[in-house]
Amino acid sequence: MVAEMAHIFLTDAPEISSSAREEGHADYFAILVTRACAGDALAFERIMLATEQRVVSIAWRMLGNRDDARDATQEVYLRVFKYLRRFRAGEDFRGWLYRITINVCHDFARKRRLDRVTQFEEVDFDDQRLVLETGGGDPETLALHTQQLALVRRALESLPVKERAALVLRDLEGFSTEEVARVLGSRPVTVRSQVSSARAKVKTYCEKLLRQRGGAQ
Amino acid sequence: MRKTNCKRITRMISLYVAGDLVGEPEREAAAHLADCQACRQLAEEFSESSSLLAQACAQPQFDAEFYAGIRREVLGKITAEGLAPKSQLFERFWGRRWVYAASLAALVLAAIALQVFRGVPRQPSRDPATAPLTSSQTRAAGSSSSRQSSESPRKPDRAIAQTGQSPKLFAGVNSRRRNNQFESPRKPDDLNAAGTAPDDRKGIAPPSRSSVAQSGRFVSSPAAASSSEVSRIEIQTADPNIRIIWFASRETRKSEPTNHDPDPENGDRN
Repeated sequence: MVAEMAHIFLTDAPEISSSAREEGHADYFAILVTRACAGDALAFERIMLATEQRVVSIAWRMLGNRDDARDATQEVYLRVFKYLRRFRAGEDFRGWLYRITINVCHDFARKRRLDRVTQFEEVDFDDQRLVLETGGGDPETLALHTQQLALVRRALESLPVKERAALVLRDLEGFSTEEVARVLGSRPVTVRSQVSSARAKVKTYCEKLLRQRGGAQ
Repeated sequence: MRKTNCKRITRMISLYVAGDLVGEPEREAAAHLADCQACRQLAEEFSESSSLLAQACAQPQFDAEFYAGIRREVLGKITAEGLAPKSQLFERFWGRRWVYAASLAALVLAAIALQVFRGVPRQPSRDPATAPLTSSQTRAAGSSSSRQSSESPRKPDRAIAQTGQSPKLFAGVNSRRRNNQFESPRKPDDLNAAGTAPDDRKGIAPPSRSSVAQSGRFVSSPAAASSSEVSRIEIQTADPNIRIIWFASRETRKSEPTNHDPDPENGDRN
């Protein structure tokens, strides 16, 4: 996919300097934004191509299902286009884009009254494949591991929105603490605190549920 | 000492496991974990939980059609609805149009309300209760005030001076009307056979604006009272202790306009 995108950039935008063509380069996005502001739909499509996977990923992890993730991603790009002139050259375009993504996800969650109760669709997961990939061949082990994964997803669903956003960006998307702080518009120390609290909650939630199930059996 | 250290390290373990600690805190946590079996166990649990989270929320593979569908939808909306990027200047002024509209509406309402409330006290200028007294009425007021002054411990010179100044007196009336310091009109039943009111000043009802307006209207509109009824006009002078009360029967008032035969049945001052 990345190779395909790179091909598009190389063939369709000869006037963009080669250094700026690299995905993620600030100048590259600045040029595309300028063009999109001037009404160049192709430039906007390139922005989407370069960023959509990450946006869908964040939206899916925040909202928990494929349909919501798709709707949220569409809303994100419509909002980005609408407020494109607000983006100032020199700023981190992707940080701005992910901030919009998180805000849209909050709005979606609020609208659907899912602030604390998102539902990961189990059909989105192929846990058995995952378990097999990680080496669990025994059916009993496979069942246990599948159950654990479902528990962890439920633990993530149970987190408050801000903590969930911090955990998703830091632990699942692999952003640094400083990047997460920029995206969420808070301080690194706050992000560290939120992430730490979220990790502890996930761990406690899983332990508690496993203990309950153990007691019930 | 070790317990305290464990408590402190416990809060840092999740950060240590994910590599969020740097410098001295990281070294401190590492040194503690090397010594403390319980904290090491906790660190392993955190590590396992983190790994499970990463596995559990591994993104499902969305196909190319999924992304293409999103792009189509977005670009279709942009071109169909003509969503132009908003300029900051446009947004700054046009985006707040509701604030401006609400402010304008509030100003208009305030202006209307001000006009209405300013109009209310001006209307009574036609009210007979505030019309200039005739010379006989002034005389009657003066005589009654002098009579009252002999009964009350008030200084007579002050009382006379107050009642003798008719412009000031009526200015006082207006101010009193605004301050709602009028008595309510008395019913005809309260009057004795001579048409005078009993001296029951102690039992006077609490003053109210409506009573003032009522007494004024009572005099001004002939249809408001039957022929046997008696109108009562009370005028509060600038001195809060002086009040002029004037009772007039309806028949008398019809033929009244002459100054020589005033009909103040009773002049009363408090």
